[in-house]
Amino acid sequence: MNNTSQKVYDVVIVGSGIAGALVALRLGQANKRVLVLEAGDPIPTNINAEMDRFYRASAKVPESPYTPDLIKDPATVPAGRPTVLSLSNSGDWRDPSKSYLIQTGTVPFSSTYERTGGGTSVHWLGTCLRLLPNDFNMKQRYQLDWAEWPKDINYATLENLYHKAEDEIGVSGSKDEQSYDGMAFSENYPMPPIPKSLIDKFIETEISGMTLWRKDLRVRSTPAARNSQPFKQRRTCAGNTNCIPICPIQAKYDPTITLRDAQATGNVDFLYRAVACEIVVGENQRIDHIEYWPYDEQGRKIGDKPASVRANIDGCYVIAAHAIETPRLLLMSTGKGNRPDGVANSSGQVGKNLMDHPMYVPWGLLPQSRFPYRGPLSTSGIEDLRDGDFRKDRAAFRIEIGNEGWNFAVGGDPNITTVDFVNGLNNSLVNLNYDVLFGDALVARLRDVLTRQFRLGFLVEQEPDEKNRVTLSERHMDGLGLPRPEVHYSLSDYTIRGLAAAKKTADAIFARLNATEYTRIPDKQDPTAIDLPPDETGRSERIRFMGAGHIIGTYRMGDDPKKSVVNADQRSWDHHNLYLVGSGVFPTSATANPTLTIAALCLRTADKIIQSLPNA
Amino acid sequence: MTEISRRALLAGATATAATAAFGSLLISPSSLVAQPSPAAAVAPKEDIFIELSAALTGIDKELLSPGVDPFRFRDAVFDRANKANNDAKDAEILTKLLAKFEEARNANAQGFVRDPIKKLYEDAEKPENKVEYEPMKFLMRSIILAWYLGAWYAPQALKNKSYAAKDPQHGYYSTRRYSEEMLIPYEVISPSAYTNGMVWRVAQAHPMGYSNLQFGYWGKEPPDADTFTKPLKPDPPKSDPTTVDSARADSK
Repeated sequence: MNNTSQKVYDVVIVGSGIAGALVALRLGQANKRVLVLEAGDPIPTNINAEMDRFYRASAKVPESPYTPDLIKDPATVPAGRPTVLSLSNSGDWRDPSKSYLIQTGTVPFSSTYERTGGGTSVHWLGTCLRLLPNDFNMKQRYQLDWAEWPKDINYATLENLYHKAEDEIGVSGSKDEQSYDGMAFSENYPMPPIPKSLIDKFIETEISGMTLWRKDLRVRSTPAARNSQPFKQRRTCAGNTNCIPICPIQAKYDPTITLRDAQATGNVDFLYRAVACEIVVGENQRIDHIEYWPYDEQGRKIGDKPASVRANIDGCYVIAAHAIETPRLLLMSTGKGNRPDGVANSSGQVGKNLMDHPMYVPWGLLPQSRFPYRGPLSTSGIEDLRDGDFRKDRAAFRIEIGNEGWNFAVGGDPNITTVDFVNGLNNSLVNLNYDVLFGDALVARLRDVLTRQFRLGFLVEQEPDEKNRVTLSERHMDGLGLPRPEVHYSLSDYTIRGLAAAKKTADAIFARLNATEYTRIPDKQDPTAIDLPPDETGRSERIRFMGAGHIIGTYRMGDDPKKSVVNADQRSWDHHNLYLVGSGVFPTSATANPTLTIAALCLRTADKIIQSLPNA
Repeated sequence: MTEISRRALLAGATATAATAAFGSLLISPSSLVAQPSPAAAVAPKEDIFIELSAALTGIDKELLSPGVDPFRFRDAVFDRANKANNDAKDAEILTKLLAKFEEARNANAQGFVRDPIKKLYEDAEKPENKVEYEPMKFLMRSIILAWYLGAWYAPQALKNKSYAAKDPQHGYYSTRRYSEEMLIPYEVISPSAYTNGMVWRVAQAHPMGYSNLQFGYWGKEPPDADTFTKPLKPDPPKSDPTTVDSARADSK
């Protein structure tokens, strides 16, 4: 069907996001021949078209710069994806003609992903926190009945790999500021930290000496894959305040950088618009080949049966399609019904324990202008509440400080607030008198509000729960006729108690800052509304949660083949030439944004794969 | 001098993002700057439109309509206002609005009217004027939003999602709470309209995704608010050589 299928590859990788890209790079550097299958469009030759799509988009959501179009019926799209617009009230998260994911849970799974060259990290924030030692050890340390990480995967064994990952993708940070809760650093970050914003510094001063949940709070510069000096021929961050959805100068790392480096080894080929649809098992439980549907630029299927790619006889396969598309592919791979449970699923764990970091986002006005809409979207956080004895009873969280005013919080400022003052509305809740302003009064009022806006983000660890799972829809297909992912999602009591603690913490911080809060209390009908358990005074509050874009779980790693899908090497227990990589392997969601840990685990796995392949 | 240069900001041409957006690191800002159009090319009507816009937005007309305007933001807003609702009568409504504004402005010059825009808004609220003035009232709001946000909120859409005028006796006709129903659809006029939107100046910031500022600026105070919304006055003479250098760097 195409030329690449005639070539012999040592390794076939499905997915070109950060996980697939890093494995491809390392293998290419080791002179292994690699083919990467990507479901979505190729990386554009330059950024112009994406910037143009972003500038023109009225809803500047994470997906705006990237193909395919957002408004199409997912049943017609060959490589569909969930979008922010399909989650809004107007989008209706339960409507399969709008939402690619078929959602059957009590609350929407509110994170989205891309299927395009470079994967979802084309629009990541760049946060590169490490997991804490106790994040790997929740069962022992806090007596929780949670799955355990493999004994070979812990802070001590990953420390060196974290360094390698930080060097590869280019992280700016300060080891002094990141040495807390047992984190030790053998070396510093490759670049100095990103400077704190005026908002960070204001909060830093105001919360100085503040103790909550028996921990002292401190504002720390967030380690980020964002250049604080020229790095690997990429420029220094110029503070475009647009990390999500797109950095106009690529001062923020994204996986297309690694894909180009991989390609430059001369050993890595790419096949775009190729949707893997079946992992075919051969003799001795080894993967024999992968079938995929090619489609053209207009989204039309090519051919009347899937094409196939095969690694050489000693080679292997790596599935790097994150925690929704990877289990979907495994579950679809039934060998025409001969394997009803799919591939790599003797444990029955594939698709189970889907997690995110449910996020509480309070917003308000500071007592003085601290000038948001300047600098990277976030430059600092409060990390001290990621760990503590409270984890026995409720979920921990980190606190991200936003630099983008209410842009994210109200869904599109400065537009919402500006329209309020011009058209006499009060969607922002700051125009209480429904004033209609113009001229100098408009400038003065808008300036006063916009320059004082700020928001926090509480990223709450989500308890693993096997009821939260990805299965295949029986009724709803994508544009290639493949079953779409069906997602059942809910928040456990432990997780909701974490959200309640986040709300309490937010209230205390806002009071300390003398900030005026404008966080909207959601209507009961809002699908993301959560009624918090009553506090000591019997008062119950309702908050809204958001997705953090962290798709975790569904093919967990472990030491017991009966209870986990892959081992510490991210290798399938059932098929020795099959690796499943990415945050899908995390047994717990932990308290850090997952990408750096994905990268560290992938560098480890790439070494294991290289060792397993015969020397050429 | 690592803080933003006033000149670079006011020129509207932002080197960093412009070069990224146009894909070449070799383009210098000056090559993006078109020659000033001859004065005769600006129709009188558009002149009044700029005056009206300055009164509506509170932004100085030298900033709305700079002599050198490589992005032609002025023309983009004016063109859009001429087909405000994509209706055949739109240009007529704009013409009438400009005439009413000119009238009020002249009355203001003679001391009869304190604020021309306030006068138009007040006239619009008179029951006998409703039919005639309402399309103009919402067109004025569309024009403000176009300048601020680089986006077109059609007058009809603004009217559909607005509350009745303030009634001093009874407060507002409606006290509806927020709902997505009150969010108004709009279109971005053009990429350069987005990046030239005045709201970013009011916020003493830069358009998200389009900045010519330098690493670390976010840890320092921005320049004074007025430097963003008022025309640049000639710098007082200074002997500090670093000032001269940075001015020269800006003009490259």
